[in-house]
Amino acid sequence: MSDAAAWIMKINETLYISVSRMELVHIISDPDMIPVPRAPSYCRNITLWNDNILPVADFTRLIDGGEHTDNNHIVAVTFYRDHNQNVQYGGILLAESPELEHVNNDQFCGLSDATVKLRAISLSCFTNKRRFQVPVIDMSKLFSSEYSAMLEQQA
Amino acid sequence: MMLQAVNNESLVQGDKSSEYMSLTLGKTKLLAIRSEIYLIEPVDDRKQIKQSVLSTGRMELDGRIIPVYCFTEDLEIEQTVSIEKPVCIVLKQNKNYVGILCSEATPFNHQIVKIQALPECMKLSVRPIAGLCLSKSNDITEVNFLVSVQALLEYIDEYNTSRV
Repeated sequence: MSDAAAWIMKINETLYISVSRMELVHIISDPDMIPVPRAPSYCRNITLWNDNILPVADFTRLIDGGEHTDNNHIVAVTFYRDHNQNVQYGGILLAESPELEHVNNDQFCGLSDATVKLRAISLSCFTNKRRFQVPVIDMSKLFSSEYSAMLEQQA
Repeated sequence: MMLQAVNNESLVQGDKSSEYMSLTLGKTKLLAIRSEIYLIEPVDDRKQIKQSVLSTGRMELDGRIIPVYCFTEDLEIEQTVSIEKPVCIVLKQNKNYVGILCSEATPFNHQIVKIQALPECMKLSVRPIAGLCLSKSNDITEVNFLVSVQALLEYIDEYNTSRV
């Protein structure tokens, strides 16, 4: 039985996502969020980290289309590769600090409740200790122009 | 393992801050290239700006009628002239002139750390912004949004087309 470590990230009371252990590089508490004019709603803000300007993904807005929840004051800094395979940094807005969990094959499950928006950026899914279905997010897809174009077409 | 993000690469070499003017639209700060600015005109009298259909207003300058636009912080075009934006920046590209109303226009004197392209996820929708400028002044770190006349004119054209 193989097992892998994943960071479990709480977005809100009903949504958890995860990224692999290597993809999370830093946690910022209460960062300054700078709105970018005309930016897509799920990626409305940028923030700063080590003189890097990061787009910040808000999954609550992505899934529900609703307003950003003021409860989320933590940004997980992750890295991803852009379409040229260059390393870039992106942030994910969280409700709590992420927790590392070891996941084995028995925990893998289908993305039964996921919306199309979530399926399009999910590599796989597993059931975590709290019995939530946790999609594993493909960060390169989340921050890609193709994904923002897909969401714009759906809007 | 320390990863070096490519977005650290600056699009400009050296400190080029003197080449820009900072235009304030509420909390949004745009950076315009100085060489594209034709004139900075205080709008002392609201009557200087006449009503117009496809722009916020129009004003006469050196015998020409030029369209004037008033933007919100989110770069929506406002239909009325805001008293909070008493400065008109006239931008010129070839024979095209366009006026932008803003609350403040000042020489940009921050130290530019870097100017970088927009993140890929924003490139499609975030127009007319061409890039992000990270700068420092004393202990203040700021991000300004770089615009060009060409991009502004295209954006205004698209915006008006979508409204018709």
